[in-house]
Amino acid sequence: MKPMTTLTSPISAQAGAAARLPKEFTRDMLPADGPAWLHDLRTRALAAFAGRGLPTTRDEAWKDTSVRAIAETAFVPGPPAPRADRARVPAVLPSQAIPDDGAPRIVFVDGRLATDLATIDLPAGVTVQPLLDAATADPALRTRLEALPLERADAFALLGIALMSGGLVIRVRAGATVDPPLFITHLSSGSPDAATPPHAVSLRHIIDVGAGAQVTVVEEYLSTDDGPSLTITRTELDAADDAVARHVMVERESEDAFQVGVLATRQGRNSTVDSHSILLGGRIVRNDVNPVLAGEHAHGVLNGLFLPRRRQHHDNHMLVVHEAPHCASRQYYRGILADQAKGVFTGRIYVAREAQKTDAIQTSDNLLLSTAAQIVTQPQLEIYADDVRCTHGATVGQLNAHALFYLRARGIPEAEARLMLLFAFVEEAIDRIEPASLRAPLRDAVQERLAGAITADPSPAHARR
Amino acid sequence: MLEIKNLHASAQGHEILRGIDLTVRAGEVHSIMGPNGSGKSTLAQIIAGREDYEITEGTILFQGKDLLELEADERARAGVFLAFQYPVEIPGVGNVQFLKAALNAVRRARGEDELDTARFLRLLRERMALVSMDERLLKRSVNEGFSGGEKKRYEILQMALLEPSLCVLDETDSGLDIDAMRIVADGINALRAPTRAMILVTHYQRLLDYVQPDFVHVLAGGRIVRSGGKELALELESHGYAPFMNGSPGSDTATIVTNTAGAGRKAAIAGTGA
Repeated sequence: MKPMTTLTSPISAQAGAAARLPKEFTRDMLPADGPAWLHDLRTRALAAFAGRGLPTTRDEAWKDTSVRAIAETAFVPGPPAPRADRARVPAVLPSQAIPDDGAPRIVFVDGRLATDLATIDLPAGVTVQPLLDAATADPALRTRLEALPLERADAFALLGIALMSGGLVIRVRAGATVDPPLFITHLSSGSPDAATPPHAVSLRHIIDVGAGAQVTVVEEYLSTDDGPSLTITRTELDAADDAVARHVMVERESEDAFQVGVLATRQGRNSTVDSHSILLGGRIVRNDVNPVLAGEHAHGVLNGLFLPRRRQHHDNHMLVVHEAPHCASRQYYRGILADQAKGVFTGRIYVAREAQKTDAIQTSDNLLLSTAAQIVTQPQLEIYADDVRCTHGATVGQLNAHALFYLRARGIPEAEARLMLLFAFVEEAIDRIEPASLRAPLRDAVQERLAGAITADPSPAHARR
Repeated sequence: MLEIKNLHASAQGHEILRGIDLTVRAGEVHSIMGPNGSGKSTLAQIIAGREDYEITEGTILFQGKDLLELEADERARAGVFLAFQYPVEIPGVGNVQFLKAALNAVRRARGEDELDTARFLRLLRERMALVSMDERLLKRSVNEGFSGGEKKRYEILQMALLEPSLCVLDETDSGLDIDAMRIVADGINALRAPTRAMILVTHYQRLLDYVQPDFVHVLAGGRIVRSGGKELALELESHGYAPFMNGSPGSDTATIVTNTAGAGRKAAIAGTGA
């Protein structure tokens, strides 16, 4: 064993070091198990992370999201293996779990695989392996994991590698149509009392979709109890030529939980990749979606709905990279912000010089339900091709007073009328979700949440007139 | 049914209604006519419970209750209905969902049981026949993509469905061609009942060719300057509103009121921040 050392900011000599957050992520926080190569990787990543510390609002990519609450939480690593009672995890899924109707569901508890993959009845054409097993057997995959994102990546990427306890490798055979969706459920046990300290865990999922294949993966994040937890996830999805891949992310953790998630996709020719994000839970949630449209005529959809309330903070950070010509990308994000909640939408579209005939659209529509709620919405266009169509639009408003009066003038009570208008606002996003079979359960989840927001705050003074 | 006494109302500090007195009994149809900006629509909106106006003086009793104490939705459940001059498009709220929510809210208030979807749809189809509404419109969102005539017919349909005690129709005839006018008028006539009162707010006499009012009132400068029977409408048709404008106390004031009414409306729209 190497001696325990503290690898944190003192070695950081860069300007602004004084503003770095005080939290020390140390070696004793790293998961203790796993193969030797992973130990080395974790140690290297932690050392690189220590040179940076957590981002502050001085970092451009985090300027509207303070992670101080994360920095000030004393995390411990996730437990090395699921406890005995967690072996029966599917039986104790929180009620918020999306009904899977018998679709395969793989459950992680505090970063540890809690489902026996051998017992999962997978549709034809798809294989699922634990990431660490796959990487130990496959040097190319291991090399991919071992590459530290030293250049542009932010500190959470490094921290994610340092804390990584596993993940999944999902491979879809060329030409296969995988139906129904695959569910990956991430459970955080929270930290309800002093005896159960908050866990910091990290997972990495790799999804390879073969040429012409079709698949839907649902990643959901749930808590079994209150109290903080930190979950860092990176999902890499490669869609080969003509593939159709759909990724649905549903955040329904407790309002104490922290989640930092990245979906990085790479699309081949004629491929379609949808990313649907529904953010309801969490205290601080960072949702990065980074598609690279690398083959001609690829089509990408980034559809999102975020509904923070109370002190929740939802930060959506899009980076859409158009590398190839004739590709189309669509970003549609809608936020409803209540109480003192804060939301961020950053939509960056990068169009490389070669990516002529790019067609990129971005919209960000937001409703503020209280005067204390806040939304920051910012388009960022970086365009090096000259024959492109890139449009962006953002709206921030309150519920339409004329529509509200019309409904009330027909006898519909104010709270019910407000709900009808909120449901109408989210319906556009729900309607875009593919496959359509997921709309009903996600609509239920969203409507239940909105109903809660309304009853919690029946007649905010600001919204009356 | 409705008793308005000395009603004064203003918007953004400008007085729009300057002492309205009006009594409407069950079974009666009253027409309120007047030039643009006279305060007709303001009166209709105030009865319905729009909050953009400040009531500075006066009272409104509806079935003996203080109407001004009630919120807009409470008034509607108590039996007040406003057919909007400009019905609002509400994307994302389906017509069936909207109508069912409204009807069941009103039924609950009346102590009746809520209708399930099947019973509701049966009743809806029956009432739709009254205004010859195309059933395909029900698949859309509230008023979305409706023509001017369809919007007005939809208002009458809502009235037929909710069966209010007091119907206030705000320029329901505006923007209608002659066929649509006839359909709307037939709908209104079908809903006339001894237990129901109606107030038709209109600029032109045209609608009154089809719907015969019991009383006609001329509103000018925020006041009712003349009341009479249906023959008053014909008089207005031939002489216009000019005699009332000039004859009413302070013709200058009437002009000013016209302007402020416009400003009030604009300010109300700007103030919603929607």
